[in-house]
Amino acid sequence: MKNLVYALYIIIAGILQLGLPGYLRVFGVQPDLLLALVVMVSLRSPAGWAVGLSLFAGILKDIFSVSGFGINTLLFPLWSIAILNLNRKINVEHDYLRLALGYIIAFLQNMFCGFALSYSGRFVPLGVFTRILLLSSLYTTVTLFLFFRIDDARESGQFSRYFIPVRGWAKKIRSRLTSHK
Amino acid sequence: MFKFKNKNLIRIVSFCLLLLFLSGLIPSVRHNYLNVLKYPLVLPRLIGSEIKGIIFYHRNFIRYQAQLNEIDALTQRLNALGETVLENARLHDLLSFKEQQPYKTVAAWVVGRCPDSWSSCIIIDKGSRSGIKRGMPVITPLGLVGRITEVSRDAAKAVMINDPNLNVSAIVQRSRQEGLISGTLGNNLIMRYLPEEANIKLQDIVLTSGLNRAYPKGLAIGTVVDIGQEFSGLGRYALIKPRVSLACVEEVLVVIP
Repeated sequence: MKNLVYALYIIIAGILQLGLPGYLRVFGVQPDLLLALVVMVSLRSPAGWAVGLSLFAGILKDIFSVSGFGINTLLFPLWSIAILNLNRKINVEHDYLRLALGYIIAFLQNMFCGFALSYSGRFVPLGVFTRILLLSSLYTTVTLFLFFRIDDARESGQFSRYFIPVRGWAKKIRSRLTSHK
Repeated sequence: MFKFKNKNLIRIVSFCLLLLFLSGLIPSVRHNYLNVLKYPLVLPRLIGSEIKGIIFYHRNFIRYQAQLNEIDALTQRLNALGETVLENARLHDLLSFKEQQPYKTVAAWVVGRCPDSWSSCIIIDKGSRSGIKRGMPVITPLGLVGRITEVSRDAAKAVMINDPNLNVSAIVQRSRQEGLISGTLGNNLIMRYLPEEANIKLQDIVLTSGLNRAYPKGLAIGTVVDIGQEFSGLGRYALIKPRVSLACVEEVLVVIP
């Protein structure tokens, strides 16, 4: 169930990243919501699910981006495997550690994408390159923090209390309908 | 008796004269009097209204709440109307531009944008069913926006001119100097491969050259905002500010040759 919720998160993040980039942009850069979710999923899901969901996120991102090959489809599962291995060796439970890990992953992802663009002969000014590399990674880390908070709230059942009245109404309506029959 | 009457008459006449004098004098000093008297005259009114305010506090509070709600509703309506007016003006411009063009165009809405910071593209709501094919130029009444790269039945993806993957052959309108424009992912585009003696100045307008037939000739791209020397020292480059505000483009036209 939890993993299906993560899949839903990925779909929602993909839609947000496609449909609302103008609103998400700060200093000309936007956060990589999908990458932030890949980091979170890799830290909180079993290995199989984590890699699978990362692959799904990578494909989703590559479908709508311009790059010549599926760089995200390649990199996202690799980040996921790296995080899973790291999580086995050291304990990444502390918030600051998770955020530092998120920043490093986002930084490496942006660096790979930037170098792939530069080495394919495209011109990217150094200022723009550095801005995307540093700020976008930072912004992604901030969104990662938010995702952790949202998921913590979901796990502790803070969301479900909003759904309990809805369940109650649904039961009432169902019982009335059955009594009419 | 007569004496008394005479005295009275003198008093009445002198009083009338005084009045006459004052009436002549008053208009010239009226403004000053008004200014001075305004404050004490306003004071009782203020006190009265304050007392009324205290007495009718509850009624006023209810009215105030109702008016606040009304203001909110009206503001919301005004915003919605303003948006409609702007949209109407944009569509009107687009339609009149479409009628002026010698080539066939298809109007489309921008429904999505690129999901990453390393590229710049838009997703439009028209696809192969509307006659759109890969490689077709995308424009607005202001100028060139980009080029279609992928097409599905009811949607298409277009790379914008500020993406480094897109190169456009361009000329300077004034001097007919040729160059190649590519995106930088920033606010400006870069025009490269300009020779050392290139005739190009700040504020020159840059248009599509129509050389490789990928774009119709004469579409506005932008204005020269800076000129510099290439790092290799072999030529010069110019920074071009795009005519179209690429970050907030909402409707586009796809040129069908």
